[in-house]
Parts: sequence; C-alpha cells; structure tokens
Amino acid sequence: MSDVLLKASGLTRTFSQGGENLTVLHNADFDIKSGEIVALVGPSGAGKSTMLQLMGLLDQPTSGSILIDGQETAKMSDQQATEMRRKFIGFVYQFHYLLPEFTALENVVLPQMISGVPRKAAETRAKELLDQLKLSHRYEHRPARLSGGEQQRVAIARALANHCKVLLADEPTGNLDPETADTVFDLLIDLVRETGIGALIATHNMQLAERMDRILELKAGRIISY
Amino acid sequence: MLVKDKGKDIAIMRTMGATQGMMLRIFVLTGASIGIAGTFVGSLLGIAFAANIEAIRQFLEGLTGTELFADEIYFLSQLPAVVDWMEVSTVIVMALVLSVGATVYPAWRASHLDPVEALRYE
Repeated sequence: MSDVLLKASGLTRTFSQGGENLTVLHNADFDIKSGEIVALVGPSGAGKSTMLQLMGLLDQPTSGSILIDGQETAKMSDQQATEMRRKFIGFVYQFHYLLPEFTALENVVLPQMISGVPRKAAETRAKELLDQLKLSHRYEHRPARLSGGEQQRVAIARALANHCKVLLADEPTGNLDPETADTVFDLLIDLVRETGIGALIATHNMQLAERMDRILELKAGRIISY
Repeated sequence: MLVKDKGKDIAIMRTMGATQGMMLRIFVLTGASIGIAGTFVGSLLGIAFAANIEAIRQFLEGLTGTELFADEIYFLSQLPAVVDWMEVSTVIVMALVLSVGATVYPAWRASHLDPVEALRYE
C-alpha cells in the first residue's frame, strides 16, 4: 500500500467560454497508492468527470502536474498520452460503451490486440477475466443480448484486460438497479484488490463510497476532504 | 456517415490506447474496401449491361408491350453497343481513386475526434 501510482499536484483546469474563464478544478493535490481504492464524490458539476479525464490523459491540465508510475504526464503529446493509457490506465464509464458488433469475448480481446498481444493469448486472458466476472456462459453474446449488469461486467473485464495499473471509473454502477449495482461493485472491488492496482471511482452512492479505502470529496472544483 | 455513427466507438477505442494513426487506417481501409467492392460490382454490371443491351431491349419490350427505340424514328434495327476496354479501364481507375480519396477526410476527422466530447453523457 505504499507505492504511489498516481500523484496529482496543484492540478487546475480552466476552460475559456465566450471570452470568460471558467475554472472547474482548483489546485487539486492527491495521490493513489497501489492496491488502494479511492472514492471520488461530490455533487454534479463539482469537477469529478474533469478530474477523471485529466487522470486518464484525455485532457490536459491548465497548470499542475500528474505523475503516473513516476512519469510526468501533464504535458505529454497525444502519441505519448495514448501509449501511457494503453499500458497503465483502464476506464469504466456509467454506460458500458461496448462495441455492439463484437461479442463479449471480442470486446475484451480488442484492447489487448491494440496493445499488440497475439489473438490466442488475448483470448485466454479475456476468458480468464470473464470467468472471474461470472460471465463464462456469455463469451459469444453480443452486448445487445446481455443484461445491464452483464454489459457493465464485460466493460470492467475490458478495462482490466491490459493489466492496467490505474483503474478510473465514472459512476460504474450509476445506471444499474441497486441489487445489480451491489453485485457489480463487489466483483469490481474483488478484482481490484486481487490485482493490486489503484482505482479512482466516481460515485454519487455514499454507501458504496464508504466501502472504499478513502473518500476524495469535491465541491465546486475544490477538494474539501481527503 | 460511418464516422458520425461510430463517434462513441472511436472514442472508446482511443481511451483503450488506439492511436490516431490506427483510427485513420481503420476508416481508410473500411472506405477503400467499400469503394473497391463497389467498383468491382459496378464494372461487372456495367459491362454485362452493355454487352447484352439488345437482349435487355427485347426483354423490356416483351414485358411492357411497347416498342422501345422504334426503327422508323431511330433508324436502328438493333441497339449498338461497343465495350471500349480503354474507357472501361479509365473509369475503373477513376472510380478507385475517387472512392479511396473520398475516405481520407472522414478518416482524418475520425482520427482527430476528441474522446471527451464524444463520450459526454447525453
């Protein structure tokens, strides 16, 4: 629990809109250690999604620094950020965003093939993950044939397929009924604990947040407790 | 059309670590495959149509009961058609160049799509 996987310092993000500057994240400092699950909570518009986008290298901060596995990422080129995402970061969104033409297995194989893993090895890894997420009977099913909980479990398997070191999740159970949300959350937490990666999970559900190791609370773009 | 429909899929692949170059190649290959298949099928149909124009005329006349291209108006006992292979080749090459060329801009757009914008919740 001591290795810092992700460290944000003085993170600020300002958007210019109609000649005015709107700061959605003010001077944020925090870190995530390996094996640690951090809840990101706050009301809508508090800056949670912006924070996740910055951590996921999908956006660049206006100022401040983000170290992932010891590497400064804040000013990386698109190519460098893409390679970093491929090796270190897994994403889970509120909506599963599985590719509809592909089966569950193929959806989990895809990120590995993007990383250059041979098809056979990628399939073996995908089956392992789908088995762990209790989806062994759903390999060949397309997303439209899966329930909401199953779709989200495939999305979790896809996020972890490349042995990422940091998992970023934006309301991963926000679209599910309470019972399914609990099941999916338990499986997600078990997998994260088992693999020893770090996770930053945005949620509105305080019951789920309290089950994580730490809670990072954002309000109007500022961290008010951590 | 395809690029617009696939915005979220492109974005999610970018979050997985697909590079802009990969996205560009995917859409150029998709567009080019459609273009090549369309050119091939279109050429075959066009050549078959030209080579059998008289039989097609007779079939249509039989089907509709009217006289198409009446002899006394057009001074033709049968429809003339000559397949000029030079022209066929030129048209095929032009179709291939245009169909592949037409994929470049949409593919470039796909590769430069901002994943954050594309995945913004409705």
